Amino acid sequence: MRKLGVARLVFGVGVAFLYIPIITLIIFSFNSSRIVMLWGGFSTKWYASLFHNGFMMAAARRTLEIGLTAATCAVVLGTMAGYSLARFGPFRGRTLFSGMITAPLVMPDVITGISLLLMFIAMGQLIGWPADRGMLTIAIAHITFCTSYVTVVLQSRLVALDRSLEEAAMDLGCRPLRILFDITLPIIAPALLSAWLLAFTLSLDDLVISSFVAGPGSTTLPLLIFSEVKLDVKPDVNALAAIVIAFVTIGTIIAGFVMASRERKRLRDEQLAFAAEAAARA
Amino acid sequence: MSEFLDSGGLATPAPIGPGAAIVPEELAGLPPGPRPNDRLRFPGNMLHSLGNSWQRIMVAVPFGWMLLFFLIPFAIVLKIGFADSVVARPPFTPLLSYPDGDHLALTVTWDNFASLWQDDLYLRAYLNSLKIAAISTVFCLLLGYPMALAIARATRQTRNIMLLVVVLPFWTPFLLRVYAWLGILDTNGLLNRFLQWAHVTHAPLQMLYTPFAVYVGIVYSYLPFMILPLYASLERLDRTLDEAAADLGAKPFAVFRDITFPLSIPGVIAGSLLVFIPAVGEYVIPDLLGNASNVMIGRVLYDEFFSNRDWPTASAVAIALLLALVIPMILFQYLQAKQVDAP
Amino acid sequence: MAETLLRPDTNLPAGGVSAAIPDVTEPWRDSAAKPFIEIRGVSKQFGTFVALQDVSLKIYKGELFSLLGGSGCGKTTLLRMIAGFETPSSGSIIIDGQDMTGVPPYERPVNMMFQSYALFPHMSVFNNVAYGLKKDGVARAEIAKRVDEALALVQLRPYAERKPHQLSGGQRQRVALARSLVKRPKALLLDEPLGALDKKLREATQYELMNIQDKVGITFIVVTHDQEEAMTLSTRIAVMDRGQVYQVGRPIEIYEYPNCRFTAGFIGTMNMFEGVVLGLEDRLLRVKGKEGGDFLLAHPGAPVPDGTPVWVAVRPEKIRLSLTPVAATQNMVAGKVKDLGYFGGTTSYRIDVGDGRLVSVNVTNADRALALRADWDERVFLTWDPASAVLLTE
Repeated sequence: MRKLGVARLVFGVGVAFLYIPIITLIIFSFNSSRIVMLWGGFSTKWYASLFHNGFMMAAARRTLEIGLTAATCAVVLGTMAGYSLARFGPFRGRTLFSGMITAPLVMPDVITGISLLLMFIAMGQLIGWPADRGMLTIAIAHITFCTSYVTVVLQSRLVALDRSLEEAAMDLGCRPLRILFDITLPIIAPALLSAWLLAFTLSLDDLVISSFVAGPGSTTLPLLIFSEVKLDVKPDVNALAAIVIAFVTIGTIIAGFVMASRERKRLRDEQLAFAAEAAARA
Repeated sequence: MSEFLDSGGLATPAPIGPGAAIVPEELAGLPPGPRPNDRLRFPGNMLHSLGNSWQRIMVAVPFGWMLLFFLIPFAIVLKIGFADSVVARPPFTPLLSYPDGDHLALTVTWDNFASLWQDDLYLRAYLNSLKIAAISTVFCLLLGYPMALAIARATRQTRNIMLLVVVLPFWTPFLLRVYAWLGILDTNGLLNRFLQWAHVTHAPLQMLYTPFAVYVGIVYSYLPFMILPLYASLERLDRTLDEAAADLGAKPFAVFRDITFPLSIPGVIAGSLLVFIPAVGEYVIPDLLGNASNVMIGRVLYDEFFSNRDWPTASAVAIALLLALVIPMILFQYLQAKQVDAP
Repeated sequence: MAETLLRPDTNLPAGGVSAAIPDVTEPWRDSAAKPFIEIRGVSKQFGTFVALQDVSLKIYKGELFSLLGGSGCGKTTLLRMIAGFETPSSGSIIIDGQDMTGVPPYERPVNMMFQSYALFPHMSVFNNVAYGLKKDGVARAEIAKRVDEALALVQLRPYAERKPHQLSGGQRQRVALARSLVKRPKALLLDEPLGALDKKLREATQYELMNIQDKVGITFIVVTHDQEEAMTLSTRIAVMDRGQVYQVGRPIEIYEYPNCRFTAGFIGTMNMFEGVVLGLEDRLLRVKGKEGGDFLLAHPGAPVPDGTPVWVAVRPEKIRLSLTPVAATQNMVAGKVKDLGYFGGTTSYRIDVGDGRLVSVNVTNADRALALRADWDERVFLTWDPASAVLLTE
């Protein structure tokens, strides 16, 4: 098992590679010096300047609004699409449907962006809507690619779901549409949640597609950061990064903790049930 | 009663969808065959009294959305790619027009594509993109494979923690992760200072705004995409296969070469595609970390569109970029479909 | 019901349709009795694969009827068809006089117990059992009462508030049973009801299932691949293979009077000797063995013309073994002991009767001398009574 020693070593190196940039971001967000990467003493002034930066705050709000909208709509659309693909068997147009769902996953962002922009322009000329580009067009673009990710996540979850659960409900007198709400969705709720989080993250992360379909006054946080850091490293961006990383880390730790304790409880319950039965039989 | 009469479930016995649980496995992939009344069918014959309306809605809403905001926009790109460039608003000639008022004329031009060949800016940018993506993919694989193997071979609890450690940076915004490298690779940055402090170099190296920085950025951003599919395929492997090979006299490296690696090839392919495809069209990383002489195709497209306002050329570039990616994309779609359909 | 199962009735002719006196406990013998569930000429194709081929069955009220067969024999497809999850390609299913064609699962008067139990993981035991009643719009108080009764029946009353994952395998099975019984279906369909339980639990549950069926009086249709399970549980068994029903009968009929080579080989072990019918002698049929030797056997069924190629089938426990030649001109085969397994009370032999053809013989070790002496390569003689063999024509 010497081979595994090498793998473990590379794992350590890889993790260092993944984390050193993030850690330096956090450390230097507390740097009082304006000069990049030159430690000038501890300070929280960049956090203060971040919160006083009206542009930054407005962009952050917009980004969150778009993210919430896009993730929620994408989960609704993706649930419908994933359920159709997993449950309806073959239907006319299925191949085209699943092609349209998976293609955006592999489409380069620049192409998605340019095609949506041209579409919005053409629509604007044809029917006068959307008259201008802004939050709405960004949201539409985000819903579109997020729907693809959500669909893939939910479709594979539904395919793996024991079909007899839904059949049992039908056998007990439940109509098919009702089964979706009584049985299917409650059981796949964790997958719905993780699909929503994935869509939300993807939306917050998007820069390229937004840069095509954004309009004046709809600058999102990534767009703002991009234009700022193209010129120079900005300490208040470090502060922002540190805040985001803190949120993500705490969220992940809490989620991991909740999941682990649930899993432990489930295992304990199962062991107890089997022990009780063994005792009853003895 | 009338509901299922409508659906044809009574008059003609409904052909069954292949999704039904008891269809023998070897038959599940059979083509559905011609049907007199090809409506949506719920697996088994669950459908016959649904009236189908809710199912139609379930399909139609996302279908319509993707049609309107994915397929049609894409068709528009195609259209503009074949149109002439003019200084106007919009800056291209219509593809379909009524030149003499009564009959429709289709104006198609290959000029945009021809110019892609003639001007070596485009060709260089293409080849450069493919080269950068390919090299980055190889580095991702070299770094990601041992990492995935280490995770797959860890005990159950450690495995979850290791996975979390690898995935966590993915939840940090992409732009911020790329941005972090600006401060590290800068001439006055952390890495240069470290190298000088360690007496490896005496003068600061130019690392930022070089291809090296682009490789670092791409490998850094896409590493989780390589590790996750690799881990998935390695984790599925039956460990007793290794033990059987070792029992038959294979040394550890031979076990890896003869058993583990060949069986993980689907993961290698999936991971490589997940890195390669987006890397070819990457825009942000080369723009922040690379230099102007090493331009990638995403940047060219962006500039044609926004700076030169040459929409037809931009569209032609988009189409050509897509063509370059068609084979890997189809491969990816195929793997995806196989993975989703096989429980 | 247990009485029916255990009553010795070895004189029953194969097929057993000719009984003169209608028997209330055996309605299938009464041609005037109305079947409760009738499957009429049902076929099913998946593409080019034929899952069921012209299956007809009559199942009577209060029966515990088993569909027995190996995997892929079509038994599950048939059960799912009765539940409404599959549509027959042709033929129809009638439940209590009502044609079920086009009736969706949620409107059929039957309930199913799934092999995986299919308990809703997000609902408590109470809510799982109550689900079907809620869907029927039963009043809340009535639901509480009926769920409580159902849980009492399966002895799970204290577990009502638990979630399925907090139960053991046996308890889950009983929740699934309660859930499918609580709606008082006209028939309960059970797909491998004991398949997911370990061997010890399976035996206990088997009898519990029979008791419950006795108490509630609902018709049970059970799909199983386990022949012992089918033999102990059932009033009648339908033996299936490749989408066809080969034989329907009480367990004892299926075992003692198989009507075809498939059933004979599928249930227990059967030795078969190929031959040709010579003729009827004193109400016994004489068969000329293909490998030499004559066989005499009772054949009360339809007459078989002389010259018909047939098989003489004998169960291992009906064969006597001796070390000395027996003065008999028929039903006697000589051979050499090839294998033997000594189990104390019994010994199981495999006898080479020439050309590598093996005959299985089970002997109760009543004769110590025989047990001691019939060793490997020993020359032995096999005999059996004419009444112990069965004639198979196909």
